[in-house]
Amino acid sequence: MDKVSSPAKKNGWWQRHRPTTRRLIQLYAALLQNAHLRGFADGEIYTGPTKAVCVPGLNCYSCPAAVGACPLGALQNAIAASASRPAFYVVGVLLLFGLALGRVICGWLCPAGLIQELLHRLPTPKLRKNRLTRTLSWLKYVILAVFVIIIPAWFALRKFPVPAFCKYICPVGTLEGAVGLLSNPVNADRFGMLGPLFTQKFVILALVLTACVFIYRAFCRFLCPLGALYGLLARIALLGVRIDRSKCSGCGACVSACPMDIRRVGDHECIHCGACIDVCPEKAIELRAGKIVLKGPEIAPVKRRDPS
Amino acid sequence: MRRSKVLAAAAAILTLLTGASLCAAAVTLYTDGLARRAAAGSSTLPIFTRELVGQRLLWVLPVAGVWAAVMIAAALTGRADGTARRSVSRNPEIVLTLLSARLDALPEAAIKEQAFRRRIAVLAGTVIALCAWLAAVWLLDAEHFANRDPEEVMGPLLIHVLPPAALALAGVYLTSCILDSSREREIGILTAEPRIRGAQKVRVPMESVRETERLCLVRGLLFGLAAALILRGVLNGGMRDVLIKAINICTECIGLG
Repeated sequence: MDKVSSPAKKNGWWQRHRPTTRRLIQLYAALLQNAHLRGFADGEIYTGPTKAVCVPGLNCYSCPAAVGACPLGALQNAIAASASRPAFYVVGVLLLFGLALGRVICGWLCPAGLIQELLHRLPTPKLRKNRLTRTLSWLKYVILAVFVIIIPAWFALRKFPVPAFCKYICPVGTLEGAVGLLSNPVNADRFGMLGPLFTQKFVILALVLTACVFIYRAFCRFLCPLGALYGLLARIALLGVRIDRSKCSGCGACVSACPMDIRRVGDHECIHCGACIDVCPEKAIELRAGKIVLKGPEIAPVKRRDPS
Repeated sequence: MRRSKVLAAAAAILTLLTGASLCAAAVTLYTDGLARRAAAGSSTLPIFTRELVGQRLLWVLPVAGVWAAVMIAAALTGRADGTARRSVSRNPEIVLTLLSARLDALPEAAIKEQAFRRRIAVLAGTVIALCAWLAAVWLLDAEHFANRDPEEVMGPLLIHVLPPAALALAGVYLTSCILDSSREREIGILTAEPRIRGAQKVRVPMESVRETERLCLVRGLLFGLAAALILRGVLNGGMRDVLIKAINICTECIGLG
């Protein structure tokens, strides 16, 4: 065995674990959307005016640190109240986010996505994407239709708000909201409220978190209706990875390297993480906002001539 | 190599154990709480208390502690993420596009495979549409949502919607199996074709200018629509509704009950 310690070997651990630009942006975005960290110490949620604005990612507004409103929770509540007031604001905001950023939000800005990716880095055997995961990726569209739109809409007609996804499924709300609040002794009296609903949601949370260790972004790929909603606008979103078709040779290296269930780069399953940019042998993929290139293939540094 | 595999297997088992013990702790706390209620004959006795949750978490702590220790050891020894390499899969659709683009005319057997795939796609589409129709008939009937108690509605809803949804997903899975095996057969046919050898590099067809312009137009119109909706929403009090909802803890929404 070679025992010579080269500089590369010395820095090996750091080289492998150094946060990428995307990871740093994810961290900043998560912090920005949860800037009221004092809320964890106080055991109370933020009540400032910024809560009127929806954040782009899935981030429960009952999280003690949240400074904005969850777009999915806001959408369900807006649908639930639509009998008295049409849901123009939330639909407009979601349309704006979807058109401007699309599923770039999932890959770069969503705090739930960051948690899932960090869990997936734990050293266990991983389940690769396959036909079954690709099939299950359609489940989130069923959840979007049934739990986010149809159930809240029917109960809205009876003037009875039921945010069905938040209430029966959302593990992010359980983790950030319920666990976040209950972990503070100030909220000890809230334990008395807990019953079958909390048990059910806690089991869902534990299952989802466990699944995320083995499956890349399990919640995002199979259950998240917000991702499904943004996925519907994937084709027309302004920001995203784009293929320069004049360079593409159709080798499929991008699809093979992608951990999501995509059929082609930039489709409704693509979270525009940019992993494909570096593996493209033709350097044909770029992360673009219109004509502006935000991330392109790394160009090899030009070797300087030896002065001698 | 072997050491990292052992570590990965141990980490996997411990992860599953931690997840299972968390689930078991929640469920047993709930069932114990119900039993206590029944014994006391009081329906107001709390099921969960901070002390009981703390005691139950002490059971989970040893497993979680070992799990955390293994994870930290893996990270420090550089084993972390060792098995988390990007998944690699071959997409027969792309391979097929490449191969068929290298031929002027497809062989008869390949054309037959394509026709077979079209028939399967139509059949699968019909089955999925039928499943969606079955679910929609139930979901769009107001009578099924007449009860104001959502828990009363959720049971029948799951019974009526889950089977068609599961059937549709099974249909998607089965179709993808059949289509991929047909594609593999076609790949075999095309690679055996003598004309395929020595072919030129294939280029993917360019997006037309008209297509790009149309996309920009649609995008612009939708941006305008989004801005108009937001403005209308701010004026009709939709923004205030979001604020009111977000500054109050919705205990039902986060699962507290």
